[in-house]
Amino acid sequence: MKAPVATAIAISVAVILLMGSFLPIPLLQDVLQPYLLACAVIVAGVATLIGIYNLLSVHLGKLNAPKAGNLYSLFLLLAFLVTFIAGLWFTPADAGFQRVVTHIQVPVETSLLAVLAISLTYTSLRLLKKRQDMMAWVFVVSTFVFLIATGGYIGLLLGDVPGLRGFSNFINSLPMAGARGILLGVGLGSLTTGLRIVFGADRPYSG
Amino acid sequence: MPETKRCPMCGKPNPADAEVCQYCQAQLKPIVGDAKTPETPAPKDEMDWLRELAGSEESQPANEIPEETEPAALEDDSFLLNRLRSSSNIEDEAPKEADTAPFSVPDDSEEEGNADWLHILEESSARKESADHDLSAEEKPDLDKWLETLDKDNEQPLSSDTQETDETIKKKPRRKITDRLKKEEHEPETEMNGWLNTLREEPDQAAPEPMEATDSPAPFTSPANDENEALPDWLNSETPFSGDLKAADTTLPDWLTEEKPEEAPAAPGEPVQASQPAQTDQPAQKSDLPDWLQDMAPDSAAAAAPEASAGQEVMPSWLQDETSDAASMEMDSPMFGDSDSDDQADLLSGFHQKEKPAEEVPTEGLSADPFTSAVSAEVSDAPFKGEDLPDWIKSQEDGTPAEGEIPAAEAEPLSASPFMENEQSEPETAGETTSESYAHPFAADNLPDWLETEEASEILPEQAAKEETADLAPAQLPGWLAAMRPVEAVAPESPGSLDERIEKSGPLAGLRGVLPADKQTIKYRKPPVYSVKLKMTETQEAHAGMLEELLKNENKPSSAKRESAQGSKRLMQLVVALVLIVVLIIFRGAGLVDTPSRPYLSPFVTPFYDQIESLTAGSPVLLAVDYEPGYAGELKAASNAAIQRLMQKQQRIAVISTVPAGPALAEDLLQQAYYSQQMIDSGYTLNTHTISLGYLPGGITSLKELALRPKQAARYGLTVTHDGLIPWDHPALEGVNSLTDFAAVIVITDSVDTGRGWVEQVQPALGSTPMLLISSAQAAPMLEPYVQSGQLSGMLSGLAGSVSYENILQQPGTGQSYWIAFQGGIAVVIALILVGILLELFVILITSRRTQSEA
Repeated sequence: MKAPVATAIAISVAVILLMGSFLPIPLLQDVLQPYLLACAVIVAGVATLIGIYNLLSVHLGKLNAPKAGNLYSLFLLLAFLVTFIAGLWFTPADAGFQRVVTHIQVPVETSLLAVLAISLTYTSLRLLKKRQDMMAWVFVVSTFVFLIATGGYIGLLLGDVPGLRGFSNFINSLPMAGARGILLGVGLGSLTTGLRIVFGADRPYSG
Repeated sequence: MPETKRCPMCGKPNPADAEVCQYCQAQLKPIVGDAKTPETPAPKDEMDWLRELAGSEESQPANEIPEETEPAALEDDSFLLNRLRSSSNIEDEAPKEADTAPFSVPDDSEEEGNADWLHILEESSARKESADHDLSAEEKPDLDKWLETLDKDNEQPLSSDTQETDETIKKKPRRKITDRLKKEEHEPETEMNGWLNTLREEPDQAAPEPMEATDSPAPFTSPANDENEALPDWLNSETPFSGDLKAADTTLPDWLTEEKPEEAPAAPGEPVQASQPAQTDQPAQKSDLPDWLQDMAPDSAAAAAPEASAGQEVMPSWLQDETSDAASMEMDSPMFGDSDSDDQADLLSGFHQKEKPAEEVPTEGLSADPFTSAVSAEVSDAPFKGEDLPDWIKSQEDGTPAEGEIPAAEAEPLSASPFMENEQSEPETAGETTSESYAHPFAADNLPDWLETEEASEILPEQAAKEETADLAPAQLPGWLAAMRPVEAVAPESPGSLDERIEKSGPLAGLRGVLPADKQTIKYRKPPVYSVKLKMTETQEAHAGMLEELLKNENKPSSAKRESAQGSKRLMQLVVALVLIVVLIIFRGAGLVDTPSRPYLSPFVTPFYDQIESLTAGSPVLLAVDYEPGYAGELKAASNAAIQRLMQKQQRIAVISTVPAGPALAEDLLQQAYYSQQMIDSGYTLNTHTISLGYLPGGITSLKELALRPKQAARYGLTVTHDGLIPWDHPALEGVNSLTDFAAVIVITDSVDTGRGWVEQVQPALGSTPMLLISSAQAAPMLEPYVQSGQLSGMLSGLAGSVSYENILQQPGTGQSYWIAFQGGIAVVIALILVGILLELFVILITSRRTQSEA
């Protein structure tokens, strides 16, 4: 067996947390559960630091490699250093430091979504050029319908037609039906995964 | 007489000369089981035992010995001794069997018995002659001495009363024989070569005519037999039975006829062996006995059983043994059917070998009979050992027979007499022969001195061990039962000629050598060498090639279609981007539209509005800002109206996030809402009414901790390092110790997982505190089910939800200003997709027409 100690710890912690969720035992609910959760949060915080260290080491390696495109790594390292020093200096509660996030990070990420919107539009434009089968036509039709519904064009185009509200509700409830199915699958999958970890069948921590 | 030989296994007749059954392939010849089957006549090959002797030395089947080997062996001085040695090594069981039940052939022809006895003597003398001739000069004196001691040994066990009579009986004929032997010792070798030549010729003659020996009396008994002419003169002169058998009785010498009236008939009803039917004919056989034997018989009978009836025939012990050996010799081999001098020499040597050990082997505890005690240890085991010795044997020591016991002198001499059975075995009662009758003449008790001593020394420990066990039952074992032992135990088998394999399964289980095919099948040969190269036909090669091609193509990645014009693609992307930007700028720049188109009113907006409106003024509200900066544009517009409403109601707001950028986004969100509604004059301040609890590392795990112990999960917040205050001591969180103390929990998220984590981990710990959700339009379909299930009290999804909420509030805000631009952008996207579809359909139509025109 790989990592028997890790497996034993994982199973025991899972069992304790599970019992604390169902059994009204003060020892479990007031002592063991919070303690184990605090430990997990600390481990997650340390994992974040490890992730940061890994990011820096990768880009430092790229910076040392004689290869094109290393300029981006240099910018990343510089931005990290500036932000890190500013955060230490001004603290995260400083309004000036917060503007670094709101005036740099938000536009950058929003621009990425804007590019995504343009790419999707262009792909929709050339949709039938790549594929001309039935599924392509189904996708095109459904895209039209939901764009019109989401944009509020149903009422704009058709006015106050009797029964129009019901049709609009039906259209908007279609995604919810699919989402329910997905959520049920996610819930069952999570349950199964949890049980497999509890029973030791899955050991993602064993490396 | 049948001219066929029945298979012992299947019972079907086979040619007489067949060695293997034609039907079942069972081995006919090596298995002495011929004697077992009553239908089988006497051995067809009269020289088998000699061949087997030679085979034991040469490890060859007897019938495969080349003719040249036998003369060569005969020329060897030690040939006979070697034969004796080999036979003694092979068959140590034979003497025991021969002694226990040596007589299985009834004899009803008295004349033939007498004639055979004399022929035996003739053969023995001739054999002795040849053996002596072959012996080296050093061995001859020993042999002579050994022969001389024979008579002395015979005298020892006899009682003092009969000693003198026995001496006269034994010495008379025997010394004649030995004298003749000595006299003819130096006869020309041509005479011996004569019988040797007959030995060579015999296998060839005897094999095809196996029935001759049984159909007609043995050559000894036939007066017309030419071989009788080869007998020495002294034997011819002393043989009164060379004439007609019928007249043999009348031509008996005096010393033989004197024996007649003294012989006692066999007691009727005595428990004789099944294989000894001749005992009932004993009275008729008395007249065949020579005088010296008849004289001896009553003496020995008187010594062994003085109270026995006068009619019982008694023979001396040494003759009993001799007769048993002679019987076995006759049944075992056809030596008695020929008048070869070699056979005679062997017989004589058998005489002396049997009698000689009586001098050397002590007889303590055994019978006084030197011939009984001289046999091997197994013989002394059986009913004649220790305290279980029959009384008649004891009586030989004591001089008195036991009561109720059949005297040995009564039973054994009758059955063991060679004069009564030898002549009967071959012609008439071959079917009644038993396995014991095939005991080899060169049994252990017939061995010479030098062999006997060696064997006795080897057997003694075994004998001692068997003596201990013999106290249990063997002493009670009757002779006829002991005679039923497997024939393999006494049958002379040449290891080279017999298959030693024992069948382990099937109907032949337990039998040995019945399937000689095993030997033939077990042939070792060089393992075949197989070629490594695969042999295939042309068709198979073609199919293999096709399969190989298919596999090669399967592994190759399919080449993607290259775009014919990379520049047009980029141009098209730029055109689409420019169109969208222009439209959004136009619609966004146009500002608020007085009568905007009303979006779809979600059923969850109204509950959300109701929950916000139901909040007590100034009550704490937990606001979770869990969205990425990329979704800030949508979610700020979606949540702006709700946050402004909270500020309008003077709600204390505690901000927390599981996203690293969440606290900064939350601060930006509060400030945007605060400054856009001109809340400064209302007395609402961000420092006093809002508090940031900071970032919860650990994602969903930290949510569980927050639900259970919020002060432990968000212990420091963002402001600790700034102003040194603990967030839970902030006025915005006054009176809040757990999540249930909040008036409402509002979650702003763009992720399904984050929203699900809040609902699943935190909502159960809220109690009656409502949880409201503001999500992006992308995550809304996945989170709306929680609203329908009641886990969420209300929900605003995307820009449309914000517009709907603003419409309910009747306070146009950021939502509506974005909504016009959003609708413009959606309209452009729909138009572009339609244009693309139309263009593509146009291209397809043109291409099809061009194809049709070209066709």
